[in-house]
Amino acid sequence: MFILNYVKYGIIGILFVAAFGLYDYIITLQRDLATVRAESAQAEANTDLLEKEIIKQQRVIDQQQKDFEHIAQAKEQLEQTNAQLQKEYANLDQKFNKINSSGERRDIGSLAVQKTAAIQRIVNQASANALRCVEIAMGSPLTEKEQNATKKSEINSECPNIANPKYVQY
Amino acid sequence: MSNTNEDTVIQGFLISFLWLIPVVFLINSCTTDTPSPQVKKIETVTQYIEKTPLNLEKPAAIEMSTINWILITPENSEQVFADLKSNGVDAVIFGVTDDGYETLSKNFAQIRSYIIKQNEIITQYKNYYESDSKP
Repeated sequence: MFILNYVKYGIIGILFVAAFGLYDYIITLQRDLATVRAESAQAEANTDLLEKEIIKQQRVIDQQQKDFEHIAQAKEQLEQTNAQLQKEYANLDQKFNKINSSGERRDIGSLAVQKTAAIQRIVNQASANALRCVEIAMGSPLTEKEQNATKKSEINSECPNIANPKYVQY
Repeated sequence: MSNTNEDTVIQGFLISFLWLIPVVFLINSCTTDTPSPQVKKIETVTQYIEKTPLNLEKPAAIEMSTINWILITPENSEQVFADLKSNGVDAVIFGVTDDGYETLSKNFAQIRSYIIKQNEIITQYKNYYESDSKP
């Protein structure tokens, strides 16, 4: 009888402790679940934010690519301008130092002595052309005559590149 | 006698209870205290500061005055000075030799090239920094 009492109260004790353990387990589980839910929501928010940031970063990368293309185009344009200006300078040098068919270099001084009036007219025309080139370089608008010039006799021979857009040099 | 029995029952109950407590906590700890990753909130700050465009006007082109070149040779020098006198102009010529004229022409061409290059660079800068394709 005495042993049965031990067993009975032992079982009651086990059940009590088991119930407490179960209660503690559920409470802990709920707390962990709440934590997991909060962290999951945070992770989801982080994911959204990161996705938005990725889109922003992609826009920045796209813009940088456009910028690089723009820079390359600007450099190419400048190189073309430089090449054209070097060509014009070479043409000017050619006017003074052209080698004729007999292998002699043109001497503008000698020509001026022989054909004074003609060379004076040429020099004044070249000077006027050169001054007009500076005006155009500073932003002066082209005249209709300059814009429509296509023949060598019509162009400003000092700077056809900027003075006569329709003229094609061969 | 009755008190002795009750004490014994309570003792039995306590003994049963006490040895189960550590067992329950041990099992509980194994099942519920799994480490969960700590996800921290991240923050990003984006700040755009745009400069106000300068928008300076280009200077107006200068209208160049015409220069009249006079060529003087031993043959025409007297005639040139006679013409100057008859036109009421001081009989003096500021001259350059043919090489000097060539140098002057080339210097002028280089100044013109420099203006054109500078203008091109300013235009490219304006296109780059003031175009609508910026973010």
